[in-house]
Amino acid sequence: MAGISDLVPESPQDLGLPHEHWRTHQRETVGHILEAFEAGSKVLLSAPTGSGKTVLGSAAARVQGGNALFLAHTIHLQRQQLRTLPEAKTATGRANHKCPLPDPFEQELTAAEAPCPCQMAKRGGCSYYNQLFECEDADEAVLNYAYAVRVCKASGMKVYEEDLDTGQPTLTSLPNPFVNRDVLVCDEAHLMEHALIDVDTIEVSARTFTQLHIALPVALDLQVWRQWAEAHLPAVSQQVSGLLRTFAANEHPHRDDIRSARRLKAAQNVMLELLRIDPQGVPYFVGRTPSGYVIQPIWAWDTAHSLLWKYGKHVLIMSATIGNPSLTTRLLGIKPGDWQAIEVPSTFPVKNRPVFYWPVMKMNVRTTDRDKFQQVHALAHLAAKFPTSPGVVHCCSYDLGDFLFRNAGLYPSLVSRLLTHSPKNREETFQDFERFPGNRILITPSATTGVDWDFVGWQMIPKIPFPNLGDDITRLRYEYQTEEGEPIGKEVFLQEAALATVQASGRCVRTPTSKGVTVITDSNFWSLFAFTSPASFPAWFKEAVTWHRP
Amino acid sequence: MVDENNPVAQVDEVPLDPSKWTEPTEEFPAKLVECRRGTTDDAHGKDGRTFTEARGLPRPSQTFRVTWERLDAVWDNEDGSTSPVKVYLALDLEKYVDGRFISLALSKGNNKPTFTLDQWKKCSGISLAPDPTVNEGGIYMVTRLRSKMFGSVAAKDISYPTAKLPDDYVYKGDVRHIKSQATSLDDAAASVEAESDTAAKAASFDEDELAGLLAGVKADDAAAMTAFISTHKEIPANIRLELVDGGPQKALVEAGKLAVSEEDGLYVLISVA
Repeated sequence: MAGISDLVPESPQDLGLPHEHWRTHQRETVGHILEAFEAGSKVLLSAPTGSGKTVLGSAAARVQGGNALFLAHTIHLQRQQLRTLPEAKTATGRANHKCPLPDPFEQELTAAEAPCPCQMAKRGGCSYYNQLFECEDADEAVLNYAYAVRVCKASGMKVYEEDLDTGQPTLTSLPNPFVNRDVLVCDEAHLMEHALIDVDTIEVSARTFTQLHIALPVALDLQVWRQWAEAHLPAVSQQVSGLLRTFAANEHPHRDDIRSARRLKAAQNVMLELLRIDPQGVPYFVGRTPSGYVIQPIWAWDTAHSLLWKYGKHVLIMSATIGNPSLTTRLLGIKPGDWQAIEVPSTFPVKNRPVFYWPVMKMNVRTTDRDKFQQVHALAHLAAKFPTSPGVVHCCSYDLGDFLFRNAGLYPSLVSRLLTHSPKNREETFQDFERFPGNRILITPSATTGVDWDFVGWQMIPKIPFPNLGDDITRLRYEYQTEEGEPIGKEVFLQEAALATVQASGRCVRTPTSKGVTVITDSNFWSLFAFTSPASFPAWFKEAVTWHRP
Repeated sequence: MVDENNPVAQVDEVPLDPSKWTEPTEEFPAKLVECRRGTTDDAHGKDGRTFTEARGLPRPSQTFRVTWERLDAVWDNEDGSTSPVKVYLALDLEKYVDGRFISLALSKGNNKPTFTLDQWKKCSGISLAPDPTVNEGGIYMVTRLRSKMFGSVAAKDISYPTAKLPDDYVYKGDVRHIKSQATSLDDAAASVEAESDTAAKAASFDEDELAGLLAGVKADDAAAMTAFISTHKEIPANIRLELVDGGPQKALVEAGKLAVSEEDGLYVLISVA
């Protein structure tokens, strides 16, 4: 009997995709995804660079004959997906669209600041609403996580449509164009949890509340903040409605009134969001920032569960570094037995992307400068092995980068090759390195993701990029245990280090023909790789790991 | 559906104690191709020296050597051929302490040799005899532990049989093809450097092509040259570096392939062969 995977055609072109041939493993992977969908499972797809993830997601949705919603991490990645899916439509938040209405103060307003919905909220109207109609009509729509979570909350969209009887534009409520799609495809899933946490983060500007003469609580306790919000919300809401009534009566309100209204609205939003938090749900972090306070959940499973998964009949979660599927699904609020993991092998020859483990020194906060010198010697050793190829040292922190750079003076031949940067001149340094790689060695803590450096011949990872436990939120997550005493926070901490290591190793091999050697010299790697978090490493990384015994 | 108040309640528990975490293990059918006594000098190091020479010992120490040939996997070589995947196990039978060799009490203690021999004993019908005629050539179901903790010491690559299979056993499952992997950093470095050299050799990047690309670029304008270099990454890195100092442009002008227009100061193409 023919299964659903037999419906995958010989060529992606038969599905309307702009490719003549499937890449290696693509066709059978689409089959596996469809089988998992049929079994009612959400699919976690671990697919390395070059496997064509977007095509896999689109093909699965097209074979199903339905429409799909693609979620990307950033607007930049949204655009990247559109290049692969030329027929797809995209939508971004209101702040990215100019309001076409003339402003009384001749300021350029964005749709976020505008008094929507006005009569431009219609098909062919302002760019914000027009994109919503385009997405509604398209089989494939692409959103970023932050916007998707907000827009999916909406029950529908209020727009002006022509009344069939009178021919006059009438405010109508239409269904949300993004929910109830057949397939929900989430790309870059390893970044998804933090993107979802950001969505629920409440930033409190101390300046706004000072101007409104509302004292903020001093205690860093969510319960105290909720009580504070409960106490002040009625008065603030009353003032907001008062000002709105003034605006309604006055065609040209005073500039100061508009400013007060914005402040009051911001204050009201903070209070409403605080009161929306479920005190029985995930724990929240309350902390100070230079501009005020931040209140954020430490986990995203509630958000993912309540705001994302119910909007797609089938869910496909993809990443090159998806981690341990059972842990990743827990973080994303997917219950056990409700998912299947599929791993796509790498098509890049393993000989082109070896990862050598050379245990030089265990790097941690207690490592002395004297011991860190071992890493300088190791760097010199590697630089000598690669005299003409450009290299990158993923130093994990600016402190370690600075140490390696300063102490490389021991080796005059090394000094002339080294390049490093501070947070301020990162972009310029990266451009300089890309323009004239020569045989230079870039020491950087911030190139583990987001750069495609095919020209780099070798990389050194002197320190495994464990999250910084000096950061309050990281510490809170690390110490979190379930009610049963399960140290899920520690597992996540280890997985994040593992995935950052895998991401870093992939920077220099982006195509099947490029070659790049990665050498990990932190002795912490082996315990992470073999004992504490082996399931977090994808098979295509594991097959490339070899011990180096000089 | 997940309980919204406690979404992790129904998830399998991971033990708190790291020593209880499952270690990576493999099970596979394999042919025993070597099972004999040996010494640490049976294999040479990469530098050609024996273990005894490298460590400066008075003599090689006794070991027990076991080699399995997997039936469920083969190496894929670059030339399209395949090679058998072998799994090696060496057990130290003595150790060198304070200037003398001490035989290890294999039946005692918590260590790799004792553990491995115990596992052999558990597998009925097989005795781990250091006599090649007893077991070699037989086919077994083998368990391989990538690593195992003995107290605070981690032992690597332990393999032992769990069942004897018939001598005419034929593996009928899928044979895993393992891609051949770089085994030494030196080889990998040489491979990358070879490509880097190739790039340097491409320094003889076709002069006419370079002249063609430079035509229309403003001479004596550092900003214009920087923009040119950043957009033409097909030019090898070393030549792009030289372009900053103006060497290649000067050479092309002297060779009569480029000229600088007096009118607007742009490079003009003179002749292309």
